Amino acid sequence: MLVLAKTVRAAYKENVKGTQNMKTIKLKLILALSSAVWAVTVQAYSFKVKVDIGEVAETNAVKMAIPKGSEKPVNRYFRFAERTHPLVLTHGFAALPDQGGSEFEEDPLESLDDGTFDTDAIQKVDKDVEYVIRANGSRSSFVLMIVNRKKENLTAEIELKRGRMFEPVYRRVYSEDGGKTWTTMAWQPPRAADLYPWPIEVPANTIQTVTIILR
Amino acid sequence: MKFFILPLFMAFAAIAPSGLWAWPATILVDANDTPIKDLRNSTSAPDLGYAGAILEQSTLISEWFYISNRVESAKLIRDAGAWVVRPWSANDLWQRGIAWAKTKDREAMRKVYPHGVLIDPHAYFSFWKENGMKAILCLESYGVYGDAEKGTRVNDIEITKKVICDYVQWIVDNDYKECVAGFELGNEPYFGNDPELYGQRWSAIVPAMKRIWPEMKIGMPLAEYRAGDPDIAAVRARATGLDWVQDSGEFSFSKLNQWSGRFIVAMSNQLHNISHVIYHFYGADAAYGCGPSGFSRIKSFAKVFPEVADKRVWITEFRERSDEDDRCHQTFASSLWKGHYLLSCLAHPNIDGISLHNLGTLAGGLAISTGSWLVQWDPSGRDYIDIDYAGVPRMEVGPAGPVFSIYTAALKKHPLIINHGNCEKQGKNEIVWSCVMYYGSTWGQVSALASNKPMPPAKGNVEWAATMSADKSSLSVLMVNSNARKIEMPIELKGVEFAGEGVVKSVTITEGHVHSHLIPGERPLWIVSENKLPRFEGARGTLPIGPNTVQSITIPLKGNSK
Repeated sequence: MLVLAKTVRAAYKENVKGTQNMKTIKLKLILALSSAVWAVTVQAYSFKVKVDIGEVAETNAVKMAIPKGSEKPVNRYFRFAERTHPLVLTHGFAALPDQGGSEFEEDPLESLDDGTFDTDAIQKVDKDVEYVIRANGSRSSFVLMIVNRKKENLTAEIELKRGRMFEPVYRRVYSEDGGKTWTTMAWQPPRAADLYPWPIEVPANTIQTVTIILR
Repeated sequence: MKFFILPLFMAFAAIAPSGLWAWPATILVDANDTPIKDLRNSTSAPDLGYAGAILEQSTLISEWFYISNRVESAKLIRDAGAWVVRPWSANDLWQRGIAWAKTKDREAMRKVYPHGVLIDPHAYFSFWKENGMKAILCLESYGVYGDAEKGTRVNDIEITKKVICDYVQWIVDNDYKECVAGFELGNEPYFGNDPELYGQRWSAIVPAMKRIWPEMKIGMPLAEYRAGDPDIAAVRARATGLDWVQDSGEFSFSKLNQWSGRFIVAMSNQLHNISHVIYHFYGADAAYGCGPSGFSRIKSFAKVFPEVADKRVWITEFRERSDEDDRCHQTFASSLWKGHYLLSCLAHPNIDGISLHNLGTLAGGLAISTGSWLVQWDPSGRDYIDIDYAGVPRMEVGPAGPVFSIYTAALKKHPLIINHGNCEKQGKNEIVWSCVMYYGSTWGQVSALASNKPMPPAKGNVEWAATMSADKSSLSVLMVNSNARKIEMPIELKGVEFAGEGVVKSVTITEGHVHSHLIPGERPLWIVSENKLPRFEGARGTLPIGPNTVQSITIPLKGNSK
């Protein structure tokens, strides 16, 4: 939608200046509208999360934005994740389809601190789906902390640079009443996925940690 | 065509009302029929319980449970249905405990036993007595403490006999007999090498025990294994120097299974003092012990050794997997399987107590945290850390707890097992395979989940056991539905009539999580509820049971004069 708004505004300016003819402006508008329609229809997507357990991040102090009212249960899980997995490996947002990897691959951590994004970055990542990956001290396990503020269920596809996964442990915070109350649930699938990359559920309007021991 | 259609229609019209073609089959409860068994005759009633007694893990945990948090512990026992427990090495535990209670230097004794539980035996015996619990005490005769305070061991048979008899005498003198279901002559001795010596030692001890307490129940452990039994692989993994493990690492089942026969021969002059034979069953696939194959092994053995054919049976350890999957109990699918298997055991006239391995780990009885939640052991280190641990032990009921709680609550008031069956068949002589059918089908479901494919339906069933109060004024039907849909079971009474509302106590699982490992310390995903059903009248009714549910339905009765 931002792209559409920028295109319309640019087209308006161009029209006022008279630097482009109406045919070109219409074409640009059609393209922008098509992009907007695509963005709306392809909201439920999967995105890749690449994990290099040996990675070293510049900082271990990372703060994620969480929905108001969810602080207590979320902090219980997040503090636990931070305590058991003190090393931040990556911090990023979900990469939108057809955009390739996630933002952190190009610019880890930096763009999050000042909260500003250029148009290219907005096109690449989905700001409503933020995640952090942390490792334990011996780097034998990692935890994916992820916030999905979208109304769509997504799938994170875990790609491991080395090792294989045991069954992930999900600890999820969710609301069934539009954010008035928040509930937790935790479980572990009976078997690690046979699929690769390993799919991790990221349902709509949830905050969760997914803890994975490597073998 | 008329020639065919008319007879077919007439045949259907004749058969349909009789119920022969009806599905599910009508549960038949004849109040005048001889019960399958009367649990009042069992010293381990309500018979469904656990191996272990929260006396295995550490002194810290045992003291928490039996000394400093007795009120909370009593609630845990009730919510986990843990009325029957079974401590291992009970005589060692008792010797250490007596020494612990008397010693003037507890710090020194702690150093002697860094991993052994030290607790005054009055603490747990009094707790069992106060709460109406029963213990099957597993004794060991290989040796005893010469000096329990210092930790020295002796294996002299006379000293061993004296210590075990002192233990029995202590139970009698302190009026704890009511909480002792019986004694087990050793834990899985059949994995050892010398049944003759083993039998010789117990033959010297047993008559002395009986002289102190003539009515005591004593069980002798037997084994009947088959190739592939999961317990075999687990024991081999931690055993060395056993005759039945060949040099090449292969098994000699003939040697292993010969052990039981040789033990019986060695005990031949003491069999009159033996009330029970004891089995451990691991493995829920059709060929293994937890199911009709296990029941068949008990019968087959009794045919070969008629000396023990009249003995009753304790299954003092069972689990659908062995050590290779200590965490199998964490799923509600496991609870449903237990719901089936426990009913099948209840329906066997000669089986008394059965004990799930085990009470104090993630076996589903009680989850215990001392920082992380105890798994029996997991070589992969997949323990769950306790998020909210605050420096003192925590315990909570695991996913099997509600199954035991619901069943045992009903059985404590309804000790007469009247009938047993499933959707297709019922009766005293019917073999019900529901537990293994369900268990076998869960493998395909788990595989589908792992590969993100549609889950095939489970081969579920509704298995049930109809029980009555001793005066036949109340009916309680214990039921498990391992199908993913609600089923209504018709029921018909004979000799009595319904006389009031039904009360349903049930446990089910949050949709989509029947195979999930349930994480201790978190909000349980199983749902326990108690509801009333509309008043039942007459001799017929319908008992509904929801998908993936274990429940009891209790209904008052009238009209039986017997």
